[in-house]
Amino acid sequence: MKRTTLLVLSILAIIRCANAQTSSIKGTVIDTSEKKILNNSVIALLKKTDSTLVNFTRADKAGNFTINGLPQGTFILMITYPAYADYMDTINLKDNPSIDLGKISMTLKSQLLQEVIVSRKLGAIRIKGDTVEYKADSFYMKAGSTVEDLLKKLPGITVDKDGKITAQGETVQKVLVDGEEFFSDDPTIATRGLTADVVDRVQVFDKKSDQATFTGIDDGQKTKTIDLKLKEEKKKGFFGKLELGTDGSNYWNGNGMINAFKKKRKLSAFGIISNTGRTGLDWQENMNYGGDNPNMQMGFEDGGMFISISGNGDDLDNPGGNYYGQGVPKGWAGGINYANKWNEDKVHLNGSYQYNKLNTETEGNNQSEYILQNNHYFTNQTNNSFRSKYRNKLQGIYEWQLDSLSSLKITADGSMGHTNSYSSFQTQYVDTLGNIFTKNNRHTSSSLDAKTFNSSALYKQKFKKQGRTLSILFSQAYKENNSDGFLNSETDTLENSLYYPKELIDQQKLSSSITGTITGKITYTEPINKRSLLEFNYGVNNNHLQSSRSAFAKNGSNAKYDQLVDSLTNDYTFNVLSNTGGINYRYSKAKKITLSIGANLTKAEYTRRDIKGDSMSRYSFTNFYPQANVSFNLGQSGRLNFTYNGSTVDPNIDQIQPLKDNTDPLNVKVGNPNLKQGFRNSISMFYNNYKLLSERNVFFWLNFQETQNDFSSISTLFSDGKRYITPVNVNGNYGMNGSLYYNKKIKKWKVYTGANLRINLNHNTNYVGEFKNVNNSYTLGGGPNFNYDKEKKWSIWVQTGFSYNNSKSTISPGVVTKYWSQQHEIGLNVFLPWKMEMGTDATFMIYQKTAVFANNTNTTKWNAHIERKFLKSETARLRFEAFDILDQNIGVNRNISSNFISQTTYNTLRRYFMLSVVYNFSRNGKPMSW
Amino acid sequence: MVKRTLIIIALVASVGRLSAQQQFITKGKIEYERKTNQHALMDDNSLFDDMAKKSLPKFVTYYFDLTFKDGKSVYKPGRDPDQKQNRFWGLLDADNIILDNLDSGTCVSQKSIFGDTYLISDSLRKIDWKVTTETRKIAGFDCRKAVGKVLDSIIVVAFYTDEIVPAGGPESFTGLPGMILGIAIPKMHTTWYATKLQVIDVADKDLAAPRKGKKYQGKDFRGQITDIMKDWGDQGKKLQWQIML
Repeated sequence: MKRTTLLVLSILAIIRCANAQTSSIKGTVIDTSEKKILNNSVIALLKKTDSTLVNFTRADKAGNFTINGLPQGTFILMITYPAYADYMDTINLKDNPSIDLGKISMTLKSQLLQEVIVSRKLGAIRIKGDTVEYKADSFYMKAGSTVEDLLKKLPGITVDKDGKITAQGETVQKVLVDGEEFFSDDPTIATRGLTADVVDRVQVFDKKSDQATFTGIDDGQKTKTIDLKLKEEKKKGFFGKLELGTDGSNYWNGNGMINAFKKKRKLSAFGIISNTGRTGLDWQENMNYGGDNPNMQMGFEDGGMFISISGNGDDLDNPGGNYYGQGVPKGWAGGINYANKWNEDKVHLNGSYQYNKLNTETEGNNQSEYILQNNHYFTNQTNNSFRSKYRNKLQGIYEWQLDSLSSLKITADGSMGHTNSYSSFQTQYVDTLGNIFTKNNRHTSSSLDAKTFNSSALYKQKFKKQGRTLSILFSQAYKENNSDGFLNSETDTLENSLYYPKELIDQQKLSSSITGTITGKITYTEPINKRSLLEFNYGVNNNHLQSSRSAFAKNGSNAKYDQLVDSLTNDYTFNVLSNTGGINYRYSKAKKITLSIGANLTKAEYTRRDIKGDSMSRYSFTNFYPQANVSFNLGQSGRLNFTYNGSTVDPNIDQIQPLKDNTDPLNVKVGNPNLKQGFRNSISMFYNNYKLLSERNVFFWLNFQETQNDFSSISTLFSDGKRYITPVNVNGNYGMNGSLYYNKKIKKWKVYTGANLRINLNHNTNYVGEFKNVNNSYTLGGGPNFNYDKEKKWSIWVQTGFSYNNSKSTISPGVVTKYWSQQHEIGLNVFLPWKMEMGTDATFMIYQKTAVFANNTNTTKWNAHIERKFLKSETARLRFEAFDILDQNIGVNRNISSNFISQTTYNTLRRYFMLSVVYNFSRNGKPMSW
Repeated sequence: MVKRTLIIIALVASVGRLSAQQQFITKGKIEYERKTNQHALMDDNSLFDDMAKKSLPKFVTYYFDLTFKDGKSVYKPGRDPDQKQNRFWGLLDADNIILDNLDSGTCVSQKSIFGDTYLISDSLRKIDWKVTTETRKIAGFDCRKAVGKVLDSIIVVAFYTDEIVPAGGPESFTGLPGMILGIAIPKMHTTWYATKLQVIDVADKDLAAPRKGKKYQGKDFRGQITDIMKDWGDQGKKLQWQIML
């Protein structure tokens, strides 16, 4: 830009020097008939060659004008006056220092016919009904020609020099592109803005008025219209990728994906096998090769944006696969997807099938401290487990835009799956002196069948009045789980320096559960004025839960599991029917404030039925849910948002079913049918501010929540370490978390740097027997980061994180758990010659040891890769990577938010080397990216 | 202000033209409707933009007022649109305030870009307008079409009327022998069309220069924006056009 300006300036200077001589013109503008002076006439000089405006002036009160300082050359003199015909003349200023044009007479406007020369050529012309169609390829066009150039060549069509199109003797008023109106009503913007080579056919027809199209009655109003049909091959093609990698023996990672599209039709398929943690499509791949997500919604507020994904999917639904680093995974996945649109995109259908299978082997260790009133003890547990899970899923979405004001969307999905799992645990209970006073060994297995079916229909209606809308939603969800499993456990306790078997369990466990939900909701919005509207909603929701569990002890005589254990058997249903009505007021003033305030009132009727015990109880709650959201634009540069909402929290069926769960015989869970619904108050705020020129970004958020009748637990402890845990309502639990980010570019060094701070605070109450324990814990963390990027050369980034953790329980105020933990990352990428690229990164995890967490869990995970691009288009890559070079990777998880504090370590992917080829292929298309 | 004004809607002005003396307008207030096809601004190959197309309306409409008197004009945001305009991030705030001094050939622009306000002093943009003989009516005025090019490659189609004397226009578009009442920029999928003209008294305070924002000279500002936007790829190019318009 700078350079061009300079260049232009210097060229101008040269012109000035070369033509030091300048000219002037003068004259007087009058009306021919009335001899009237036409003051304020525009006198403009245009370059003869391309009609570029060189200079202009207006005639003064006497109709006189003078223009000085004109360069040499031939010009068009254009004089205009409202309602008068344009005066055009050629004047030559060469060697004429000054020209007096004298009196120039203007005449009132009359139709000027302009002669247009059109070259005609006969080509492929077809007539379909009252449509004349031209095949664009039949007319030879130079590269870079515009659609206007093409139209000029078409027989029966003329284009004048202003771009005005005449077809079959009538002026063309509309130019459409693929049936769609170009947004500006100036047809030349389409005809001059598009190049001829993208056009397949040109159609000329009389477009009936919208009214006539709608009623089918011809009202005689027609508009001569040209429709430019674009070439299909621009819309037909495929793209995909193929990746194969292995270390030659133990590790493999392969996947293939393809999306073939033709106009609006998309057909895609994928397959993945991997034991390096890659067990499904990632987000981006899911959008390109998977199906539409029926539960994903996107919204916009004041330039801000949110994406929400609702739904009750299981972990196989997560984009990015379903492996979160626990254990060693093996994954298989495959799917096909079909999507199409018809009737000018008004009808949209999407259907997909997916298969997923995931096997995980996990080995772990858990160390806990139980902090009690005058005592504390420890547990040490190791576990091994294997889980194999697969699922088949079908899904369909149908969307229909009924007319410009109403639409209907129907979704349905169903899945069937099976999970097998086996686990074994060895647990030691250790007192403060280091003596193991109880030991437990147990094995569990289960075989689970899961089925789901969900569907919904959403009808939306808008009205002529802006802001008035109606929407009606029906939805249904059904989930069924049936499982069959075994529990085998032996608990030994220390008595007189010897261990004696205290409890032996050998049981078969059967359980089945059904969850069924039906929802109907109607929402209506009515505008009050331009800035505000009222929203009314009413909904009915019925949620039915059914759970039956039974346990059979092994019969010593026939080795069959046929002795029903009453205390572990129960058949229970739980039904919640709720009616909700609400009103919301919304107000927004652009660039200042957005406000939403309202409340819902819900009446929920609960029915709990113990089928075997033949007891039933009914009760109901009426709840008031207020909500408020206000967002301020702070000056020009910041945005501050506050949100409050109140919501109920329902217990799940495991928490209320009056049944013991002895899956872990030393930590027996007992349901509490008297558990009440909780009510949660949440307040959150955020602030953000981004400055473009200084590339500075500030982001701050804070959430606080407090729950009445929150679900906590009563632990009843026995001397052998056995614990009964029952859910119970408590008051006064609260939690808070927040973050502050600040980042800025330091111009001098071209380094992007900043820091972040985090806080997390919890106040929780639980009971140990009769004793009420209050735990206060907090984590404070943060650290600086920086990042340098020399484009196409090299980049480096460093991210640090230091956290201080502290936890105290009133049950034993003297015992404080506190430690530092750190996580730092560093990465480097370098572009090498010969299309090569290499990168390396390392993550350092440092956990301070404590009395309880005494083993060393510090690790350094160091990865590196080198790759080379192949082919002219650089679409193929050969890549060698080394993962966790130091072979130190483990997973660590610490929990300190009650008087039972614990640290879990587990195995995860460790060192491997892999050589892969990646090939991206495409024709006429490419995968979408962010 | 409105109270003591004499409002002549464009229609009245064109009826008045039939009387013997042609009225030339030298002061008043023009309302422009700016309309952008934001779907066309979005990328074809972005997942994000693809989702955005589904949830955002095709057109974003804003209003601007151009108050002018003789050689001075101030262009600034006008009335709020009837409906809240949901727009995607790639379409910038529509709140430029621009003072054009047509006599001295200078301008002062207040622009807000991602929340930051800048005050840019510059000379009026020099555009080589190709004047055509084509005319059309905008807000009741006969306008002549001219085509120009800005920022190296952006074609601008302008419609001006010689019935309004000041050679001004919306945003930074000036330099035609009359007032520009319509602009279309195909590459940016945006049009500005005058919806009405009020012939009113214009006080000096109505033509005050914008004052807020970090001060820049036009050249420095353009240099810095170009520097930052070159890391932003295709989206950066589109933003750059909007910023430098």
